[in-house]
Amino acid sequence: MPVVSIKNLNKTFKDFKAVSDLSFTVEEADVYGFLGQNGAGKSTTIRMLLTLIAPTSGTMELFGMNLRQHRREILQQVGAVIERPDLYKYLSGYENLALFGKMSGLRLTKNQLMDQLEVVGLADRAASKVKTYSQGMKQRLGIAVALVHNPRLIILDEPTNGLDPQGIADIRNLILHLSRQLKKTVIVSSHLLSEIEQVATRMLIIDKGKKMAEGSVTELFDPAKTIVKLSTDDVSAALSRLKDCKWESAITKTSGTSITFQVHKEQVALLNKELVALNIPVLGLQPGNSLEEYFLSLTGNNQHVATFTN
Amino acid sequence: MKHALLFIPLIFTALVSQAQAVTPEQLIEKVKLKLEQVNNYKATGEMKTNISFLKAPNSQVTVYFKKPDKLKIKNEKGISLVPKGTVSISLNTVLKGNYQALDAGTSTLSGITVRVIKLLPTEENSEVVLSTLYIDVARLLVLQAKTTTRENGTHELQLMYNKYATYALPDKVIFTFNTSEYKLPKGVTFDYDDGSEKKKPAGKQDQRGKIEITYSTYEINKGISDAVFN
Amino acid sequence: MWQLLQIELFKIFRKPRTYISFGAIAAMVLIIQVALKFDGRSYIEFVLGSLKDSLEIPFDNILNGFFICFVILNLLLIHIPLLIALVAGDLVAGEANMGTLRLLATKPISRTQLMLAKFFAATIYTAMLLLWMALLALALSIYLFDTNDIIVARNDVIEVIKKDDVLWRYIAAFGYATVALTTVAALAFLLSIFADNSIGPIVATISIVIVFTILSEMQIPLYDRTVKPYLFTSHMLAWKGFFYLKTDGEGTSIPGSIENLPAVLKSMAVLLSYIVLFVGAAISIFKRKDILS
Repeated sequence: MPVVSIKNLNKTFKDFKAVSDLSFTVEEADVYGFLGQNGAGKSTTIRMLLTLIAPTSGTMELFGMNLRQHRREILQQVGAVIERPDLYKYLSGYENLALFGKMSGLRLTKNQLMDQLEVVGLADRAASKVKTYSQGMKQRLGIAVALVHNPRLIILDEPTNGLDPQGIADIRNLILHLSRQLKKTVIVSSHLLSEIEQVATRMLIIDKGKKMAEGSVTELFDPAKTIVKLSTDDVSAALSRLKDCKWESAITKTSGTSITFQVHKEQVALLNKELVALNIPVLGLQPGNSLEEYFLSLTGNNQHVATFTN
Repeated sequence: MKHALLFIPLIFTALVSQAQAVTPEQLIEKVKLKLEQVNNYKATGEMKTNISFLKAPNSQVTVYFKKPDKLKIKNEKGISLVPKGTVSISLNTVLKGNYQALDAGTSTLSGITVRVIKLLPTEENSEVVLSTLYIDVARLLVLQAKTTTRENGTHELQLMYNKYATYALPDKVIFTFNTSEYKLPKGVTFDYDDGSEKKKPAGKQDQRGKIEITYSTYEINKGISDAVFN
Repeated sequence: MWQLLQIELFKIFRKPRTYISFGAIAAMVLIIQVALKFDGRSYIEFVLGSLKDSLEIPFDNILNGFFICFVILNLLLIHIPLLIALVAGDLVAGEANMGTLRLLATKPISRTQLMLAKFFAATIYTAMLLLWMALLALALSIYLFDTNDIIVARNDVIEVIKKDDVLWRYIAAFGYATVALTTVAALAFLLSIFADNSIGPIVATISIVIVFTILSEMQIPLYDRTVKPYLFTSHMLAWKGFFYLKTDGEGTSIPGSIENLPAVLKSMAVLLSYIVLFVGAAISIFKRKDILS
């Protein structure tokens, strides 16, 4: 049973379509990377998973339960840091942790709470007000708050925003620790491929609210593979001819006039030959960049800006 | 015997003149003389106020009097807003000053025949224009006094006697007087408007106020300090 | 629910701004008390001046703790909505501004529960503010000025109430004022869900209260029976109804009576309806709201 199963999820804000027909599944103990530019729909999707935003249509199941009907049971098993780790600045770190622990329905002893703060390295600042914390300390406290009720699923939305390189490395190690040692399922979103590819087991690439690609990181970013775009006059006829043949699984995207495949570089010639054999009119067959290059082309220019403005 | 018979009409005449031929001045003097017995008193009683703009409960008051015309109504335990003219509940106040007394015949008050005497002040600038007294001649008690003033309209005093009649002190007085208007801007009071229909603006009748004092005890001529009246 | 309420109260009473209200009330009450201690006569002359010529006014007795408490309530209750809005307008908007709202809304509690806990916390804050005010305006005034009968100056009539008939009226009045100010809290709370910053709801609440109060107090017959009965501000003054007494046929007031209790209760019912309306609307809108802060 998948931990998260999303089907045909849509969200429209007034006249803006933020998420479009999105489907994906997250399995137990996955570190599921959610990759996309700023404004691609990552946060909207995560907020729908956390019931902050109501979907326009589609179904969401977590732990095999419908999110709408079993919101309470599901959220008891979910911990999250959503964008900035905002907490009550006028309360101490300890008080924040105790407060959110109670809100998750737990009665934690002082020792238990201090242990949690110890894990994120804030024990010695437990009594200080959060407004005196550095960005990194706030982030660590945010994570302690997300983990205080020992959730099965942890959702981290842009967890490295605004952190220094050491902070980014700490988060990376934490994610690996949660996944490998504690066998937690983690969903982590980022607009930076470099952050995700080191920790994610599976990954979803999203752009303008639509799924671009989904799969394991080794599959998606295999340097031996390339993207090939087939231009043809009748896409639906071509798709029906491709049905049940070995190339069908290589299709990553279809549009009105083209079909995109991801294949090994050596197979491009073979693909061409077999398309012709299937009687598909090949108006053009254009090898493109790798998925990684494609993604970087989308995000590359923003990388530094994104790091320093958040 | 002859002499005796001669005396009868004389005695009779004397008796009649006692009742009839007493001049207004003489009657007033007699009334005053009776009042003179009381140098001071401290009386307790219950005061009932009926003034259109004042909603007050009945209150226990102490009334202090000292000759010649000092009078003070005090609420020792609480607050009573006492009309200023109430000094006139003392007949000493009504009867002070120089005036000409005129006979205005007789009348009947609650079944008692009374002589009506009008007092016209002789001083030119007197505040009082005219006082009318209704006097029970037999007991030498003033049962009612109406006073018309220059500035404050007419006020009326009704007195009922019982236990302290020998001192000419009433057991109950009812004092009716003209009241001024009272109005505060709503912006000051921020009243609660309960939505009920308001009474029509006060007509002439509502401009009359009334207080009633029912005395329970008098302490007469035991001495009163002047400080009480300040 | 009890635990949620405790959490909300903990948050309110750990926030420095909460104490602005308590401090402001203490300052205002003390200022009035000091002023009346040294120059109370001027104030009474201002109120009862038009009667000075016709009535003996026992100034020293009028200036007592009960009277001063009435003066304070009369002057202050109009301004307390600001202090209520300061906290109630911040309940949701403040969390949105701080960014904690999204964390709260991902906890395993229903949004209805969350909103009810917040509203009840605001109600308790309101009640505590009034309790504080009662302590200063009533208890401290009694300590400083002793008690006596009370004079209540209305627009066209003066009420004299015996001192042993006063205390229960104050208890009722403070109870009523709690309901009245909770209405303001409910309004600020409703407005609070629309904003990501607490300034907006606070200013909007105060503006509404000011405009409605002006309409309530304006002497325009056109509004008297059309608009006024529906404004909650008209009913907020009904605490004074406890200080208006019935009279017998001879104009003597009857101790222990209330001139128009049904009207006071009706006003209270109107306020309670507004509270239910505001809170109900707040919950139903917030339940459907996408949290984007």
